[in-house]
Amino acid sequence: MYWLLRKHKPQQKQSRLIEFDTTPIADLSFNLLIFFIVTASFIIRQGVFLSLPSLSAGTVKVDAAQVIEIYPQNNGFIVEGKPLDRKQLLQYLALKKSQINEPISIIHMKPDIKYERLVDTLSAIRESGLSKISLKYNE
Amino acid sequence: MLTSPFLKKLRSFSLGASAADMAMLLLVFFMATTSTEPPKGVTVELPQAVTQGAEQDSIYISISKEGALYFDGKESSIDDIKDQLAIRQNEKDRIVSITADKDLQYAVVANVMNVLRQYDFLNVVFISQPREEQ
Repeated sequence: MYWLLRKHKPQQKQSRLIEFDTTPIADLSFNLLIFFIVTASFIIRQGVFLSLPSLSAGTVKVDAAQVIEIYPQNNGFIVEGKPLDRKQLLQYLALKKSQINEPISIIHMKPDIKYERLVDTLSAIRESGLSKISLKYNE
Repeated sequence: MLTSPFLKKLRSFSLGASAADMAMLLLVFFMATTSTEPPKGVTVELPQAVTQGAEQDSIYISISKEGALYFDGKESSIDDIKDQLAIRQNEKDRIVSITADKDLQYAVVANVMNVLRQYDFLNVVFISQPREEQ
């Protein structure tokens, strides 16, 4: 009987404070953190934005004086029948911007012109501070 | 050695909990803010431009020099792209990133842009590399 009482002796209240060891969590978190920093790619590619017109969009009448027509070529640009290089185009656009109220640039692209010419033309127009751009496909 | 009764009462403490909190916080921050590499599909030589916008969360269309099309990294025909755009009609506000080779003929890009217009995906960004001033 004594052994039974001894076995069921009420346990003494634990005096030790139970603590949760957070060191392994910190280690694990820092390991994961370093892994993410090392493997993550911070490359955010950039480009030139263009808003395409909707098929349902109507036509707009504009003053002919507002229009700047640019014909990109594989080795430059043709504007008003004259061949221009990039620097000359930038000067021309800056001049037009100062002369015309809200100029509209129309880019005439032919199918055999290289894609980089389109991007370069868009870039030049944006560099000149012009915002209204129209893209025309001359088949 | 803690000898005096007063010093014995003092309990040592560790910075483990706050270190774990800080690490977790940084971890969540990095996981939330880092962007993953977009699907390329094909390696192309990008044209140069004065870039304006950063593309994020786009629909990716890559076009090789030969005119092969890749939609979100997978080689696709123009009809496949039409199908994909038809499926994603609820994502029309997303930007479509066109990554095309600089020597590609414009006719191919024009065809893709025409399809984008048909399906009302009107926000396009032509991915380019920053222009080197000459």
